[in-house]
Amino acid sequence: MSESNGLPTRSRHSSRPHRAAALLPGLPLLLRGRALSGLSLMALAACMVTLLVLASDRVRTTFGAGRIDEWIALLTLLGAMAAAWGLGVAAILWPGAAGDGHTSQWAAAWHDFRKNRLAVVGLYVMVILCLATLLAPFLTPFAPGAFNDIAATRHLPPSLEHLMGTDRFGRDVFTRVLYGARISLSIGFIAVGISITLGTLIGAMSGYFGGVVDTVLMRFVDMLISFPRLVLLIAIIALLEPSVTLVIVVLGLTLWPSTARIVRSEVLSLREREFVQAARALGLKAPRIIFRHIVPNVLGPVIVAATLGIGNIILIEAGLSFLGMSVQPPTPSWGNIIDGGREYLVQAWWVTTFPGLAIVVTVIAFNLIGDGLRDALDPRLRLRR
Amino acid sequence: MTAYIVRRLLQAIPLLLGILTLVFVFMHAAPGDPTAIYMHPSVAPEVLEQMRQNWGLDQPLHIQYLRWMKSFLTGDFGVSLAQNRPVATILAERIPNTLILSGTSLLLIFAIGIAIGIIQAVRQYSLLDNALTFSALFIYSMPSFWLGLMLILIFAYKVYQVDWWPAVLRFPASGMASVDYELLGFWAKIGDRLHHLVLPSFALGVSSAASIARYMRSSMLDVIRQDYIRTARAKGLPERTVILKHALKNALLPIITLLGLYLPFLFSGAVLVEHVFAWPGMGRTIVEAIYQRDYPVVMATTFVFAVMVVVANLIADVLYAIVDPRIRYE
Repeated sequence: MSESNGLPTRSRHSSRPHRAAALLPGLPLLLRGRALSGLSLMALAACMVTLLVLASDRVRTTFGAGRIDEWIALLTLLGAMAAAWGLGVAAILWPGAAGDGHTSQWAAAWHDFRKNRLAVVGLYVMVILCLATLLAPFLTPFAPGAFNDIAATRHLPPSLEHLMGTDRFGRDVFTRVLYGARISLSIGFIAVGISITLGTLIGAMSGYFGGVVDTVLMRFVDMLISFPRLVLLIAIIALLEPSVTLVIVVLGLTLWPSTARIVRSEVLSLREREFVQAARALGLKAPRIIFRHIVPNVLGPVIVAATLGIGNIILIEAGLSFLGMSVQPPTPSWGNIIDGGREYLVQAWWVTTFPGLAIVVTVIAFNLIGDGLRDALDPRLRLRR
Repeated sequence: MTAYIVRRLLQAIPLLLGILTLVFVFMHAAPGDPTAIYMHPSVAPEVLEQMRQNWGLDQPLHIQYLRWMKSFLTGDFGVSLAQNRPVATILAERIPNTLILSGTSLLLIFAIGIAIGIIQAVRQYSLLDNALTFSALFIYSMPSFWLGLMLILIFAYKVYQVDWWPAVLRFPASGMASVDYELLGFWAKIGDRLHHLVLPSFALGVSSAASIARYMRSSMLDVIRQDYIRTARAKGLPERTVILKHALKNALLPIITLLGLYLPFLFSGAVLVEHVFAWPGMGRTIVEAIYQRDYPVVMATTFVFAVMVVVANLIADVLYAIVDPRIRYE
């Protein structure tokens, strides 16, 4: 093991596992000594097979007259199995391609990230969450809006049949939390996508051009930041009709200032660096310098801001839903399930408690990943070690 | 010093004007005009036209803008559509309540956050430090409105079923005063108000306290490593004196700037927490106004919130300049 560049070169590679090992997902990695990766691939494959058996009649009806989300779930199921098996095989066929051998910035960051145990836990939770939302139709026998005999099924406490109990209409809360995760996570991802893109663009322009452009843009940022976030959001949404699209757009268009500030301060120092001056001396146009030379160098902080931003946006969206200003019932979202249970807090504590726990777990996962990325992507921290 | 404060004040003016303009833009970006809610088959179109004229809605946009600017700056926020009384009167009733709630929360945040941060820094990497860091992560990721509901469930309902639970720790579920509030004596009134404040201010502040603790921990660790602390220890001062008298002062400096940073968060949280605890503050006002489509109240409340944030930032900057003599005001 040489630690000269901070990356271990794996000497174990010389002993290639037998090709037959590739038949079982994860086994090749396990044999090579990467127990955690191997075992989790195995667990993933095992879960998928179990699910396929348990939900076999749901799978069969999918082929007949399946709804679109059942088809997506089926594809996810097969895709996850293929991935669990394929990743192991890939590790056998191309032993060097699993991240080592490369000494690029990203490989080094990934290596650092993997050593942060909490961050890896966060990553696992996130993957499980994403899979669970996609597989929702197979994970629960109920439909999110389905209720039959309200008098008999209303406010049932948590049991094996209803893991998180039922709400005032006798709907299964676990099902609603699962389907609510779809809305919350997709709003989080899309809104962060919009706000990060805008923030990076505006921050880079502001930092690169300086002068009047900078002053105007930054004064606008100051203005937007002066409004308490939720107040600004509900004031805008109140003027229009609340809907998922509107919430995504408004979140995306109002949350960029913090990213813009981060990017701007990075760009201010990058602008004076030799490679940018060289690019300018070559006569390159400003857009090319910004996109090819500056933006790639601020991606680290931007990715960190994006990850932490997803957690933040999930919290904000939950608040908006709770106030009835985002996703409208009967479509479930974590916030509006809590709102629905609020009236019956004392009689049926489970309706409010479980969606809240789902929010907490999700936000913790994204915060852990974000913290891990921050440590992994900061080259200064790497030198110090 | 005075020059610095004056300059800082002058900087706030264009910011406020900008905020005012932004609120005006929101108002006018909305589809329909304020007379839309009076539109009804029994109301003649001429009456609506008369209303538009009375409210100056037939004027060109820049005239409307200047008029709006003038009335807002003189504290005339128009009339609430739902309550039929001046918005300024409504806000005057509600602003103090929000200030009481956020003020209490702010005190709580800084007291708890700073204390925990010091403990963590002094016992760095101990079991206690790790446990506190982890619980901070948990608390930081909690939605305030959900925490509020859980607190109500436990401390305003469940504990009433436990006989040995002390009555002082059984809290009211909502509102800011008991039914018999007016009949109580002076001290009993204060006690009653504090009793009502405990749950909402905790729900509002605890997540910020967790992040203040994080900043305080790292700020304290930075200071502890400095030479003058080693000197203080070397001359034999007890550890308590070194930490609380020598290190604390300097470690607190960066924390003061956070004051301005946390206020917008606190006000955002107040909207949700006031809604959960039926606390009659500005947050509840704006939510109710939105349900009733009472736009003048929504816009005025939004503006007042923004002004409060700007003022708080101003105070934080001035405070920082006062406590840190190293800042040069050119």
